[in-house]
Amino acid sequence: MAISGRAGLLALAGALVVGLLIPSWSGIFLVTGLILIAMVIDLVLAGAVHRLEFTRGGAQSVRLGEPAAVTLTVRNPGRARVRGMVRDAWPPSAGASDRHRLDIPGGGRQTVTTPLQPTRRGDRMAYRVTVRAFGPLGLAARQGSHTVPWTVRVLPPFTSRKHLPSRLDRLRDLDGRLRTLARGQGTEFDSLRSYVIGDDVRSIDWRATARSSEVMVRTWRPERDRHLMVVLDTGRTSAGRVGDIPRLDASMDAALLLAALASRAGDRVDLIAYDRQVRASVQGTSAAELLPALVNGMATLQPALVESDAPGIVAEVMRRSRRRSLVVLLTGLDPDPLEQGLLPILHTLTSRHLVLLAAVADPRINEMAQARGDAEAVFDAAAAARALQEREHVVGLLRRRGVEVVDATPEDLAPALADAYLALKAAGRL
Amino acid sequence: MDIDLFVAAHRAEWDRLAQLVRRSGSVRGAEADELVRLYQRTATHLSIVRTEMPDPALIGRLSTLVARARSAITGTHSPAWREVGLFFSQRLPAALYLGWRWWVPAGLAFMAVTALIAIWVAANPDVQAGIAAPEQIRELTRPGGDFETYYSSNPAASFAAGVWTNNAWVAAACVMLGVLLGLPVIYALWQNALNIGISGGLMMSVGRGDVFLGLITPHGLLEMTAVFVAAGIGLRLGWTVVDPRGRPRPQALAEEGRPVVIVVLGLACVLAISGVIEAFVTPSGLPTWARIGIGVIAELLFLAYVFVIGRRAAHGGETGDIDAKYAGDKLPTAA
Repeated sequence: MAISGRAGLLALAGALVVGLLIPSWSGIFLVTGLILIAMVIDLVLAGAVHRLEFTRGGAQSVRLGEPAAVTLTVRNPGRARVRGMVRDAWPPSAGASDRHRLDIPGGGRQTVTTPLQPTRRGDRMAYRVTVRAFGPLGLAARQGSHTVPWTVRVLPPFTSRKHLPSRLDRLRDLDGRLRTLARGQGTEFDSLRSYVIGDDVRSIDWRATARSSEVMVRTWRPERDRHLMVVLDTGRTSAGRVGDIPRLDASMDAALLLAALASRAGDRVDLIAYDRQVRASVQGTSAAELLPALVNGMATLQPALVESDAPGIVAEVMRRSRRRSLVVLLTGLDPDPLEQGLLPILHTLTSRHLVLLAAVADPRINEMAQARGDAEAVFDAAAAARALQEREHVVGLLRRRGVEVVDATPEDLAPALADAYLALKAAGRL
Repeated sequence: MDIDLFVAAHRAEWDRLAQLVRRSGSVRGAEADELVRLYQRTATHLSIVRTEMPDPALIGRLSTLVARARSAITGTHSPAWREVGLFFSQRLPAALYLGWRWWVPAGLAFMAVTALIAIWVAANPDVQAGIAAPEQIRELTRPGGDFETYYSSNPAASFAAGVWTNNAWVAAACVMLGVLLGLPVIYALWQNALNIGISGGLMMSVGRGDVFLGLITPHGLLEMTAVFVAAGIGLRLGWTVVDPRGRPRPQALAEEGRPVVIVVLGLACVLAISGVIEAFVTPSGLPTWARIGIGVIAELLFLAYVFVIGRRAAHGGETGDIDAKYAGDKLPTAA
């Protein structure tokens, strides 16, 4: 049960009546009794809330940052009218505007729409539906809660998809598909065709020319059907927030852009998310279904506050890809976790695969390193320079072991990783 | 991984870190870098131990070490003088301005009640008789009586200090006790209104209302404004307990309570000024218009401080709360 502000105002008016007209104990009892009786009558006349029936509908998945709407249909099987409020409660991260007016005659139904604006990735589950039905006087209300389950899956936003067209253009140049303008680069033999003025004379195939009546040139194209293994580290270093998003989410964004680009380039992309066990795995998916599969697989991933098991990651990658692949490790560049974990066993990975390590850098550190002005800023700049130096040291260690490193701020990570991939492809290193 | 091997491999680093932490006040340059480096490394060790070989004794030891190293590294404070400047230029005026919807009505209601009491006392001789014996009243209200000599009863400096301590104490209590739903604040306001109303009423009943106002206005304007501010902010704190506006009550109290402390400190400064006026101006031989003029100027300066500087600071986003990085993180809530 609940009482309204109107009941409070009535009690205040009652106090004035007692004070001015009947200032005695009997007056107090009389007025209090009258108000209580009015409230009880109101409660009795209010519609029953525990028998209400609920059904849900509406959005089941939404990209992070986009609005969604979930509907709630309330049916009133009783005879009394149910008039009041309903609260369709969601967790704070669902961003729900959850209070609605309710007015259902006996036997009728009403549909209310709860708009959601999720602020976090993952499954958002509805909490309880609470109905407060006021009586005709509006003094007191019956209140009851119902559990009406519904889940909205909030998918990674893939904000970096705006970079995809420009990278696809670059890929097309690389691919030599615009043959009239540019010859394909790459190392994989594509076909022979007759020489036209402007072709590089070094690519003339003299054996073919000897057999033919005209001068033949070889054309090349980038390798196709290469294998990419994207590894998302979901250990403790991925939980840190850079800007306002966890490192893991920035890594996911980069992984999605890379996967979209690589699948258009004709490469196969697999993904695993790993901390001490496989958290998500997308393997052997066709190019058309790859992005939805990745987005769904990543939607519920959350960073685990444990130390990542680097030997486990390496073993899992080795088990899954027997032939040479490009292994993209999306992890942190923090000196200690790397030195204690990945570095000692990196050679196992690099002996078979090409390894590209991508990490989220904190733009705040670069800002601090630039800051001058007062003593505090200079001390901050010194500390930032120290942090950057340590990071460079680790990058140097990795490069010496033949690992490609991409270290970029959250906004730049996805395009930088895509560029690194294109550069490797152009150089024929896949 | 073997735990003894792990301990043997890293014990030297942990001992070195413990040694650096012990004398963290005096580490410089290379040693400070080493301290940070070892802190990060030991934190990683702690994470590894927790995840791979949860041995309670080792976890306890490393947790303590990491926590102490963290407080040694992050426990240093930024220069405090800037905080003092920010306090007077931003935080205090903003906190005062943001509370004006509470303390201006509180002040108006207080003055109305006081005036009603004064008129009631002055107009009813039987009420005066109920307050005190006629000779006591005469002793209080006669020229050169207790009411007038109160302000010069002690040497001015000690009187100012005494008045200031008392007023600052009352204001602080008024604000802080507001947390009890504001009831003590209302009680304190009522007591003060009664006190002033009766004194004023008794003085008016013998036709000396002008003397009363001349004595009370120079310092009273600023002093009473400070009391109204204290009461208004205290009431707001009390109302926060009643209606935390969708936040959890502890969090709402922390957010509303921190500006309250700012206000208490600020009011101590304001009351120091009014205490000086009360001790040096009120009992002085200056003509009444000069004494009242000084009080009015002090009051106008205060109002300008609140409604010009404070307004600007508040519109600049200042709330009187401490920096977000010191206030701690909070869980999101659905209102």
